[in-house]
Amino acid sequence: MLLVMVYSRAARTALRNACRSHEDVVVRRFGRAAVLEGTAYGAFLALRLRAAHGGDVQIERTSPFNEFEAVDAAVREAATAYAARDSPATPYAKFAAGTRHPDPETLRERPL
Amino acid sequence: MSDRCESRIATGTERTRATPAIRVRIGPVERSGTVVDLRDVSWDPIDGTGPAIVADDSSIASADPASSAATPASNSNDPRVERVLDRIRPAATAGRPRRRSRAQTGEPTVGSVSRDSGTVPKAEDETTCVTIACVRPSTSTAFDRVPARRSLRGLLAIVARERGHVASVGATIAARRRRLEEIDLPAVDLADARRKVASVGADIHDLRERAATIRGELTARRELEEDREAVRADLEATLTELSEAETARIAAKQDLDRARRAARHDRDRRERRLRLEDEIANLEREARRELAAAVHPAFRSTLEGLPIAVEAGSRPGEWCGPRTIAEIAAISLAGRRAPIVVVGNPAVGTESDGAGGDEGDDIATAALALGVPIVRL
Repeated sequence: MLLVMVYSRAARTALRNACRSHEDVVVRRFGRAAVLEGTAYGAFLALRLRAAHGGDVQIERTSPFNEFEAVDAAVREAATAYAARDSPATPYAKFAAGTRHPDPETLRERPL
Repeated sequence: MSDRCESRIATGTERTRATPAIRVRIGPVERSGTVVDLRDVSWDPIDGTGPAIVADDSSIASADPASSAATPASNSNDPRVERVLDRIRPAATAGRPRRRSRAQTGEPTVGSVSRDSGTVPKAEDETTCVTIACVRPSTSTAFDRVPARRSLRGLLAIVARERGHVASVGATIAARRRRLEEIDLPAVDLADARRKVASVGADIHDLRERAATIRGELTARRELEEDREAVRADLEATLTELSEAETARIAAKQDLDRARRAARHDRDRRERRLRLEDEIANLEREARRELAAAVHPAFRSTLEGLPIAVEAGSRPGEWCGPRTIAEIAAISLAGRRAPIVVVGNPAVGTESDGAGGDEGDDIATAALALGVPIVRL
């Protein structure tokens, strides 16, 4: 899919109008961004906006995220455990210290 | 603006000075008065110029900042209206847009509109003059025509500015504007970097295919026990090229990554700019509301003074009755003595605004009572 983000008032209006008249291509619309179908037509719409608004339009291609593929079990377990922590004020670094959960630095250095 | 004080008296319930008269000449037709109705005047041959008028119209539409700021689609620029406005507002105050439109249509810059016979299909249209003798406007161009291309609140806000009111958020708006100007926006253009990655990628694809083909040929020659030297050299060369291309791709990808990181900072700035622009737009809306409120009492009493079924609403920018009259009344508050061009035939399709009777009479009544001359088109 394509993620289109805009950075000016004119581009925002154009994105809104484009999304309104091409609802079939729009997967999701936010205030200043939209997710378009990953088709040539979606790309056409996005590129049309960029042709008109240049650097005020950012287009990124997204891919589905599968946590069972992209990261190992330790990351998933750490996330679940941290979400269910007893004291909400505990930062993750403190939470992970002295446990089997990976520390934040390790996580930061590991690309998906 | 200089006669603001006098006009304030004139906009009261009693008219203290005469509405300035206008004299209009369109070709052979000559009319004068305080309300000059030109709706029945045949504009031939001005209308009959066909493509030349269309070209004129479009050039005005693109060059006129007021029309591009408003919604151009809802305000189709009638070339006749533009021409009359052109005559009322002297060229010096109208500035660049009109000079540009003249240059494009080949009109001379004298005080009358003449058409070059070369752009006109009919032979008899050597020259068609439109001349208007009237008080020249010194107020905002927003007051030149009715329907105005903005809301009544927006119109009243401009009226308030003409009368010297200043919005309390004015200084804040100015400060935000200065900050906006300070934001320096480098171009975010990664297209070259992306193109490079794609083209090197395509090269690699081609080279891999070529290598595979050569390998196939090599195998075939081995089976046939033919000479393989030349083919082997070819494969060697292709593989060298491939490895060079792969190195180039790594470099191109690194370049793109660097450019992406740099673009992130540029986009942060764009984001700041957008936030500021939104903030300014909100402040301007607030200013319009405040300014419109400042003149609302005057607007209300002006409407009350009119013998027409029109009255101000409880909130600034609201009114009840014919919109045309409300707008003329608002404009009169700015001290305008120059003619207002009232466009369209309000008798058609305006039953909803509650005018009831003949609005044409109302317009004439308003013109007289408010001291503003009117040209109807």
